Amino acid sequence: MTAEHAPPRGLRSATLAAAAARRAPAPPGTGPTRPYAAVVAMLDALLTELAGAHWRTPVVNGWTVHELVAHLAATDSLLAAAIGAPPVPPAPAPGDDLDSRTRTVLERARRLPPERTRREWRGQAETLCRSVPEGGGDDRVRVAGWPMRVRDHFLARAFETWVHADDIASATRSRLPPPPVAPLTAIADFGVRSLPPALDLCGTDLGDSAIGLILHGPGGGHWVVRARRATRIGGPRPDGRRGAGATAPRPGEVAAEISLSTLEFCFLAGGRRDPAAVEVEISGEAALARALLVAAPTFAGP
Amino acid sequence: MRVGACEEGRGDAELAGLLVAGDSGALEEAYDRYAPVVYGLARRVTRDAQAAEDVTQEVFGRLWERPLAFDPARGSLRVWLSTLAHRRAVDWVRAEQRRRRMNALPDLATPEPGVDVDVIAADVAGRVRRAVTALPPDLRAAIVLAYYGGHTYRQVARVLGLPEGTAKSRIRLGLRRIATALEGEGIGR
Repeated sequence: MTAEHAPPRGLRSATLAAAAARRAPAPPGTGPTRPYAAVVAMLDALLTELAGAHWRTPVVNGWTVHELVAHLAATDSLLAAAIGAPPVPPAPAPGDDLDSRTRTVLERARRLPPERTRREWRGQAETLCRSVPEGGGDDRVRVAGWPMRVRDHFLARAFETWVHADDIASATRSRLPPPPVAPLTAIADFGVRSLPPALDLCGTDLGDSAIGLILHGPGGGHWVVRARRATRIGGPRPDGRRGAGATAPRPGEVAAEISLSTLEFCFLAGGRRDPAAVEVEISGEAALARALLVAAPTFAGP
Repeated sequence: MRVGACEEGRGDAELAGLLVAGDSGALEEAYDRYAPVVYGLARRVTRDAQAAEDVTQEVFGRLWERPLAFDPARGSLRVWLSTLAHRRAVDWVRAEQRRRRMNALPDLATPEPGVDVDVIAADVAGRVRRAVTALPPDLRAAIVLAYYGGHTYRQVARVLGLPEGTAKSRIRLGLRRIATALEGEGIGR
C-alpha cells in the first residue's frame, strides 16, 4: 500500500462520530452498572439484526420476543423504583411484586408497537445505568422480595437479560456471541455467590465441608463454596480489587471439586442446562457435587 | 481459534464480542487496525479521495451499527471489511459512471491498475480490462475509443466509419456485456 493512500487524519474522528450517530454505545455508567450495560447493548444489537421480523416468534414461558422484552423492562422497573429512578411506565407504581408488574407492563406493551417497547426498555436501562454514582452500589435494597446490594441487583439484571437474549437468539436461530470477558466474569461470580443460599433453599447442608468450583475459559476462576458463602481463591476478581480476605480451604475441608466451563455454568445457573446432563468433571464426593449442580438454577427465572 | 485470529493481539472474535456489547473502544481499535486497508482499497477502486472517505465511514458505520452481521467463524474481520469496502467502492464507481454517461460520455474514470497485495486483491481495473479484451472486436473498438480514448460517440462513429446510431448501440451493448462479465465475477451487488 502506498503512503498516498493512507487514511487522512480527520477521517478517524469523523468515522467514529458518524458511527455513534447510527447506534448508541452501551449505556454509560459506573462500575456496578457496566456488566448490565454491556448485556443490554448485546440484546439491542440482536434486536437490530432481527429487524422486526421476529417480534411475534415465541421464545420462553409462552412469551414472544416482544413480550419477553416487555418482561425484562418490567423487572428492570422494579429495580428502578427501588433505587429512586423513574420506572417505565411510571404509573401504576411498580410495587415489589414481579408477577403483577409483568402483567401490567405486558398488557400495556401488547397495545403498543414492539419498537416502542424496545425503545422504552432501552431508555429505562440508560436511566438505570446513570442512577448509580461513582463508588455507589453498596446500599441494600429489596427488589421482587430479594434484599441485596444494588450492585448485585444490577448483576442479577445482567444475568437475566443475557439469558433471555440467548433465548431469543436460539428461538430465532440467530447467532449471539458470549458476553465479553469483563461482564462474563462479573455474571459468573454473581452466579457462584448465589450458590450457598441456593443450597440452603434446596435443603443441602454443607456443614463444615466445602465444595471447590473451577470455572474454566474466559470469565472463570476458582472458588470455595461453603455453607454461608462462596469465596474466590483464584482468577481475576470482577471488580478488579485485590483479593483481600480470600480464605484458602483448610486441609480436608473440600469434600468435592467441580470443574466446568464458565459459560456452561452460567447457562446452568440460568436454568438453561439440565443439571444431570451438563458437561462437568467431578472429583471427591459425587453426591455433594451433584447436589450443588441441582441447586445452581434455584434463582433462575422463566 | 482460526489461523490468523491472534496475529494482531486481540482476536477477531473477542473484538466482535466487544462491538456487540456496545464498547466504542472496540470500534476505535477496529478502525486503527483496518482503516488503512479499507481506505486504501476504496481509494484505489474509486481513485477519489472524498469517495474513499465516504466508503470508509460507511464500512465502519455499518460494522458498528450491525456488529452481528460479522461472524468471526466464517472469516477474518479484515476480509469482511475489505469485501464491504470493495462492494461500496464499486457501487460508487458505477454511480459515477452513470453520472458521467449522462453528461455525454466524457473520459471515464477507470479504476487504476491494481498492484494489490491485499487479501481480496480488488483489482477491478484488471477485471474490467479482461472483460473489455473478451468483447467481440467491433464492440471492443467502440468501447476502447469511447472510454479509454475519451471520444464522444460521434467521434467514435467517424473514426470507425459507422453511422452514429450504430456507434452508439455498440458502445451500449459493449457496456452491458462488461457489466454482465463483472457481475459473473462477483463484483456486482
